[in-house]
Amino acid sequence: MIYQLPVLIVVQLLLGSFIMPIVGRFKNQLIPYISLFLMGLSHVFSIILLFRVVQEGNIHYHLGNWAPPWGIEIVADLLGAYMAVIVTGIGFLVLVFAWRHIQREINYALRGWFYTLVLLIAGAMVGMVITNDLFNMYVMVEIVSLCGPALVAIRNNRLAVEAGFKYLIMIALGSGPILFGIALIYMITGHLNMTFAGQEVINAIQEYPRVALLAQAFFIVGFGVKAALFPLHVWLPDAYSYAPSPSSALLAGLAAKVYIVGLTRVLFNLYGIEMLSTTPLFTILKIMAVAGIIMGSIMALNQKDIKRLVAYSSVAQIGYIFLGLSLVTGFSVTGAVLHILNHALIKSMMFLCCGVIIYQKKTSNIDELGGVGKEFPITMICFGIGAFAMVGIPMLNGFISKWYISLGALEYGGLAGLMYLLVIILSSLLNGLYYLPVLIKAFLGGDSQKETQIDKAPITLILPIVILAAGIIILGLLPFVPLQIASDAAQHLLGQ
Amino acid sequence: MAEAIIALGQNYFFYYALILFMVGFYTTLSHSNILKKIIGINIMETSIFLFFVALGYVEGGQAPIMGRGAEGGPYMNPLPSALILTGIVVSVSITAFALALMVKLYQFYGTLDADEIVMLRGERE
Amino acid sequence: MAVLDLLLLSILVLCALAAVRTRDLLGAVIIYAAYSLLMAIIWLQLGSPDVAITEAALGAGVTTILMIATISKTGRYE
Repeated sequence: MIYQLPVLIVVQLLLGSFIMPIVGRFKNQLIPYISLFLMGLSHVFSIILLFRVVQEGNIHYHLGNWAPPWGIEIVADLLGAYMAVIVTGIGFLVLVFAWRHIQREINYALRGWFYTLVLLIAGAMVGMVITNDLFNMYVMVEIVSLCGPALVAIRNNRLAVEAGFKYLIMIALGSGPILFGIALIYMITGHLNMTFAGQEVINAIQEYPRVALLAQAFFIVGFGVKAALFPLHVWLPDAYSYAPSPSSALLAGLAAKVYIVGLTRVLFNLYGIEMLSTTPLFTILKIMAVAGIIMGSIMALNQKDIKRLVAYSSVAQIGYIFLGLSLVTGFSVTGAVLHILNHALIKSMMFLCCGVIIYQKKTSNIDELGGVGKEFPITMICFGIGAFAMVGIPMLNGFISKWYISLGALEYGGLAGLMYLLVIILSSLLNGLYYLPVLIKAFLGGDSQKETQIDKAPITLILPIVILAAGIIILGLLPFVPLQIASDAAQHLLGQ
Repeated sequence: MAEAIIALGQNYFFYYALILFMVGFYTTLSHSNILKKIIGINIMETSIFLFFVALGYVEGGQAPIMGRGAEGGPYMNPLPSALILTGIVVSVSITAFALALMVKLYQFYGTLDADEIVMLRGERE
Repeated sequence: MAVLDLLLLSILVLCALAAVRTRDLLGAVIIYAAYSLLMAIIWLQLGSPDVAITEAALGAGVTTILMIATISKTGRYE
C-alpha cells in the first residue's frame, strides 16, 4: 500500500473534487466537511510518504503496470514528497480559514464551487511535483493554470473578473511555449520520460545543439510567465490583490512555486548541470532574478493597498528562489528549496491576516487602517512576525533560507558573488522599509481611545494564522528536519 | 547553402507551423479586442499541434490503424496523435473559460476593448 | 501530394491572417471555422484520422458555437 501512496493522494483529491457538485446538489451543508476531511487525509498520507522516502529512497510507480519507455512513471523523490507535504498542509489550513470567511466575499451559489476548485488545484499540484513524464506534467500544469484564474474570478465583481481574465490570457500564452519545448525535446530524443530523455539528450546535443537551446528557451519563458519571473510578472499584482483572501493565500503560497519546481525538474533532471553550464542560460536567469528582487521591492514602496503590497513582495521573494537555483552551488540550491517552504508559510499567513482585517474593517487602504493593532492584537502580531521573517531577522525562518542563499553567493565566488550578496542585503533593507510603516501605523497610529477587543473574528479564522505563525517561529529555532531534507534534495538535484 | 534549401524543401510543415505561431502570438498581444485575443490563442495552440503531429510523419507510411489483415508496411508514429488529443481538449477548455469571462466583462464594463477596460478600471478605483 | 499540402498550408496562413484582421466579429468566427476545417484536412494528410475527427468536432463545432453564443450576448462589430 505504501507503494501506491503517491497516486492515492492525487486520485483521492481529484475524485473528491468531482463528487463535490453532486453532493452540493443534494446536501449543501456537507461540502466543507468532506473537503476538510479529504485534504486532512491527503496531508497525513503525504507525511507518511515523506518519512518513507527519507528512510528508504525513491518510490517508483508505473501507471497501469507498463514499464517506463512505454508507460507513465511516477517517481516520488525527496523534492516531490516535500512539496506534497507543503501543498496539502497549507491547503488544509486555507480550507479551515475559508469555512467562515467566504460567506463575506463569495455569493451563495458559488460557494460550493470554491471547494471544488481548491481540491482540484491541490490534487493537480501534487500530481505535478511527483511525475516523471513530460506530458503528464504538461497536463497537470494545465489543470493548475485553469483553476488559478477561476479562483481569482470567483469573487464576481468588476475588478476581480478583469484581473482573472488578464491572468488567464497570460497563462495561456505560457502554455504554448511549454508544449513547444516538449515537442522539440521529443523530436531530438524520442522519449517523453525524463530519465530516458536525459540519457538520450547527451548524444542529441552533439548533433542538434540549436534545437536543444531553443527548447531550453521555450521552457524558461513558458514556466517563467506562470511563476512570475521578473519581466513576465505583470499579471501578479492585480490577480493576488483582487482575489478573495483564501485563494490569494493558496495561489501566492503554492501555485507560483510548483511551476518553479517543474522548471527545476526539467532543467536539472532532464538536461543536467554539465550541459547547462555550456549555455548562457543561468546567466540570463540570474539577471532576471536580480532584477525581480530589486524591482519587486521598489514597486512595493509606493503601494497604498495592503494586499497589493504583499503581492509585490511575492515577486521579490520568487526572485530569491530563482537566484538560489541559478547560482548552482550546494548551499544556494539548499537555500532555494528551503525558501519555498518558508515563503509558503509566511506569505499564506500574511494574506490570511489581510483577510481578517478586511473582513472586519471593509477596507484595504493602508491609510485607513490606523490603530488596527489595538483592535486585532493577535492578527497584527502574527502579521508583524511574518514581516520580520520576510526581512530576515534571526530566530525566524526567513533568516535561515536567506543565510543559505548568501552562503551560496559567496561560494559562487569572485566579484559577481559579492554583487549578489550585496543585492540580497539591499533587498532585505528595502523589505523592512515598506513593511515597517504598516506596522507602525497599525500599532501606534489612530486614536488611542478605542478600547481593545480581543479579535472578535470567529476562532476558525484566527486558528490557522496562529498555527502558521507558530510554525514560522519553530522552524526558525529548530530548522533541522527541513534543512536536512532540503540539503539532500539539493544534492540529488545537482547530481551528487 | 544547398543543404539549407533541401532542408527547407523537406520540412515545410515546421516552417508553416512557426509562421502560424508568430501570427497567433502577435495577435494576442497587440489587438485590443478581446475576441481577437482569444482567436489568437487558438491559432497559436493549433499551430503547436501541427508542429507536433508533423513530427510523426514517416515517408510512405500509412495511418496507424489495424484493419483486416493489414500487417507490415511502415506506419506513421501514433504517439504524437495520442498526445495532441489531450492538447486539443485543453485548448477548448481554455477557450470556453475565456469566453465566459468575456461575457462577464461585457456585463461589468459595457465594452469589449481591452484599452478602454483598463482606463475604466483605473477611473473607478 | 506535396503540392496539395503546400496549397492547403498557404490557404491556412491566409485564413489565419484574415481572421485576425476582420472588423466584423461574426465574420472572424466563421473564417476561424474554415481555418479549423482546413487544419483537419491537413491532419488527414499527415496520417492521423483521430486527431482530424477531434479537431473537426471541437474546433469547427464546439468552439465556433461557443463563440457565436458569446457574440450574441455582446456586440457584433469591433
